[in-house]
Amino acid sequence: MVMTTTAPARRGLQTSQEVFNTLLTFSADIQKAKDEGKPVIWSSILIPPELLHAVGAPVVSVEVLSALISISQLSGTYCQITEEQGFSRDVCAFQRCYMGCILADQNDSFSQGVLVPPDMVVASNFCCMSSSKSFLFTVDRYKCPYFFLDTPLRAWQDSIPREAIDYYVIQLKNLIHFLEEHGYKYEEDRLRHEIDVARRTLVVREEIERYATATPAPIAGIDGFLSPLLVSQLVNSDTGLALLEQQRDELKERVENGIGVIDNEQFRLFWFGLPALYNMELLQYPEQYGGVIVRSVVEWLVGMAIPPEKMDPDKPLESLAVKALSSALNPPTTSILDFAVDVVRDYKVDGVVGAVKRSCGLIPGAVRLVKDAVFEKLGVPTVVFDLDYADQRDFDEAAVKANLEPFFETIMESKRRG
Amino acid sequence: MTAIDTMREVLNHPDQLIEKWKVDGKKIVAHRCTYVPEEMILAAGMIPYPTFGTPEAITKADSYFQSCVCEYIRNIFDQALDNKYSFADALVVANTCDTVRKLHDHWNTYIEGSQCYIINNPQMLQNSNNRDFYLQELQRFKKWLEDISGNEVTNEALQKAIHLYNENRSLLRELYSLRKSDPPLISGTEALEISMASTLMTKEEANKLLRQLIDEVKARNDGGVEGPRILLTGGIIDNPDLVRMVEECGAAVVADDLCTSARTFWYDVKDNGNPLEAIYNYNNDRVVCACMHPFEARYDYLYDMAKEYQVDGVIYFNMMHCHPFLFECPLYKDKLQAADIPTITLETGHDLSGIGQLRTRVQAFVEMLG
Amino acid sequence: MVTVGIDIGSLNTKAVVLQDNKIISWSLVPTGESTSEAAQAALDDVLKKSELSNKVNHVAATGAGKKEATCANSQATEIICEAKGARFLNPEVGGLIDIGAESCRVVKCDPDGSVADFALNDKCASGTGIFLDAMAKALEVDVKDMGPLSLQSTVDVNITSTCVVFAESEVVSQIHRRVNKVDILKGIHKSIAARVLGQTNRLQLDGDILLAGGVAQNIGVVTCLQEMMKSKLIVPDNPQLLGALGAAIIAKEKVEQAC
Repeated sequence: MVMTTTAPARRGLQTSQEVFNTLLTFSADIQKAKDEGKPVIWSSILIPPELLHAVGAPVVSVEVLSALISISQLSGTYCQITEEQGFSRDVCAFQRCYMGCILADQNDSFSQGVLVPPDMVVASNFCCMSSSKSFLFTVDRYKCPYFFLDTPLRAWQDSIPREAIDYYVIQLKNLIHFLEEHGYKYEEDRLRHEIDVARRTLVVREEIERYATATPAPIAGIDGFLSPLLVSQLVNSDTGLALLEQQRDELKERVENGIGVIDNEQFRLFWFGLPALYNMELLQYPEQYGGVIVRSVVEWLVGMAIPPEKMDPDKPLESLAVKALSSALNPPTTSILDFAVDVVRDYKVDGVVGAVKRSCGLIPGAVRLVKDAVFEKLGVPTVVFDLDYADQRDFDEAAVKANLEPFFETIMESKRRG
Repeated sequence: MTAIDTMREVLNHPDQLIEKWKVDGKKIVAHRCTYVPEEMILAAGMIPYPTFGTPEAITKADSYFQSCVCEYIRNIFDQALDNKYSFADALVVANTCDTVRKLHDHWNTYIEGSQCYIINNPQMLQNSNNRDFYLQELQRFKKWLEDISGNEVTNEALQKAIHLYNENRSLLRELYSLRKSDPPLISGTEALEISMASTLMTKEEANKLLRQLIDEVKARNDGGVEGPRILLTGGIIDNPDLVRMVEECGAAVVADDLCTSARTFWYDVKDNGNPLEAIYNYNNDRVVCACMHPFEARYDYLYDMAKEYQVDGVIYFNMMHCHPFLFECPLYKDKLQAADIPTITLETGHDLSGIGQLRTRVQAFVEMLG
Repeated sequence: MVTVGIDIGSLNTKAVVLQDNKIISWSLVPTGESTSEAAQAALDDVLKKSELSNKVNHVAATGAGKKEATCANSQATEIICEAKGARFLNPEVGGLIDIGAESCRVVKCDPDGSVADFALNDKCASGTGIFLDAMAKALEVDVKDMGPLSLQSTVDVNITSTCVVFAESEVVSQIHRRVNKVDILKGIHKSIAARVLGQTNRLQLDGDILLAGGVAQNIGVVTCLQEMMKSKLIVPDNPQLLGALGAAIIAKEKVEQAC
């Protein structure tokens, strides 16, 4: 992807570029590890990366693979291949992207260059039904062993009950056993280290959050989505933490000097959903109107929206259980609603952008609840429109802008009147 | 009136049952999913009542769910917004898919005077690791039932309910076995109608009618359709007109694997003296639906059913936007085809949109099977 | 002060001349292939009718083709224009529904006349003018006659498919079953009204609702929609001019602000 900036006055973060580069080269690192004889694991978000990192496994997250495909403008090609195999266009485009990449023929240079086939698959029921089911295809295709981690639904009124944590911990022990059976060595000390890194990561994340709420916004748009949290969860925890600290320092300096991402900030947005990965420039579209997207949903996607003290190196498996069971991506929606309302309040958001991916099971079913909750509690409006995050064939720029433009004007109008 | 006519009457006018229960002062608990233990609702002295979609156009729910969300869920929520479920004191669902969880959230936010309970069952079944967790969740459900019903759920009441439901299951299985003959003694359309009607009625009443019905069917000289034998699989297919369409094309639907049919009665709850444990064992041991894991057993189960009922082909019926089934049907289709069992997949909603096109495809499939 | 609003839609381009809060003249021309030419043609025509050509202070364009309207001094967003236009026609209005050829917009107005919330249709063509066009073709009826004919219906017919393609085949099969044309028409109007209602309900509108856009001229759709809604529907004369009127009002505000 060429990271063009349409608004020349924009001040992107240095860290974002490094995050992007790290995510881009992750395939090469995995191939290298495989060449060194390490079995490759295909996994998905919300499967505790700390455990997989602790055994030193090269992990391919299928969502990241699909994101790379979409960013590389290949989602149309690969989705089409998947659909030709009988998979409905209704199912999640993130799944169709990577499945098509698997199905692509020997002459496909992207597939040959990026795809490192799995030696085993670790799957889970969350974050969503699509990831809970699509791994069957991978297992069937590569005839590799798999482990299924069952995450209980976060449906309790009060705190997480003991038996749910125990259930998850039993499964983690079985996962460790599974990893050992397939060539990995588990050392609890390394997991303790990972848990400690995760805790420190959360502490830095909280610091970043404090800076990020400042006006003018020191971080916005694409910088919010290119969070080092992605690196820490998907590639390597230590690298992620280092990048996160770098980002914090960048933000600190900006806030102390009153520097924003753009000059003359007019209004602030919360983007509820993912960006269109094949058209990241869209995230800069509000900036033409003086609007900044002050908050992304990356923290939720990687399950990192929890207090640091939940990660206790002395109870490594239990910490992972609490993290998975507290994740905002683990339904019911009410947990997302609380986060959404907090974000809108803390970041002084003027409008929420509900970008709905039609093939998703999570966002389309939650956006009305978010819209009502945010409006009822804080009087902040939400605009809702279709936007596929991964499948470029479904992009309708005119329709997207027909929604955003009047929304921005309405926000500015109401700000003018106070 | 023959037993089948009585059951059709119930299916077409369930409101008469509801009225009677209301007059009797009964509490009614709507439910959807074979993983909801109806026995527990009954043991709490309440009436378990299944939710079915309607062919009426969805209007109100479209303001809450985008049109890309599961058609079944939008259909049910639309009815609820239209006060069509106001007779129910609550809705119970199970932890199966994304949209059911969303239905739970929406119901509790927007439907006044009713609450939705989601049973937090594990999704990895057929193992013993989930035992303590699942049992605790069943306990939690039991407590909730006691709260809303005001009745204690005793072991005796549970055992009685289990016994009654097992009897019902065994009668339905007996009726289904009459589809094994060639031609089958009852049509697939009738079979689905009977199965759905049976879930609406009290089991005492249903069992009485089923016994009568089995005698009626056994006395038949003809019955089902002559033609290629079809196994129907899919999710919550609750519209007998879909099966009728297939049979009108000249195929005999002789077996099915649906949430509204065989999936509700294929196995018994084995009472071992501890009823909650029996219910746990039942849900944990049986072959899973497309929302659950492990998935390997599902294919063998379909294959065995196809062999047992000597089917010539399989129709995979998908409800619109039902992702769990959409993800697995291409895989199973390939496997079934490789085992020389021709398979097609069809997708539709309750409004039967595109039924003309579906009919053409089924006709071609039936012709191909000869 | 004289201002002009031009609304360049996907099918038709509309223009309105406003002088001191009075509509002086209006015009409607097919958009055709060149949006800039259509805008110019509508402007020329409406000014000729107004006989105020040399007194124009400002021209504002709106609609899908607004950016190509080289003859305009400024552009304004459709939603904002329509809210202005609706309030101009009826200061008490709580919101508006605009059903055009390819779009369906619902706007909720604040008591002060600004936009409180809005919802646009998704890609699907159901609930828009082209849906009606397709159905008119299938039934071999003139689009203009659809509304009045459907009012003669006595039998309830349901068109349940909301997809144009499926609805068309449903209509064809109804024709084959010799269902009365007027009843099918009523069924079509009910179906479109149901779709519009779904979109409207997202916004929880209060008070009277103004109905705009070309489809508001179809009495059949209006009647069905009114039957389904609690709010009172108001259909102005020439409902398709609302956007152009709003643009003319915004043009006037621009001139006033500049003073």
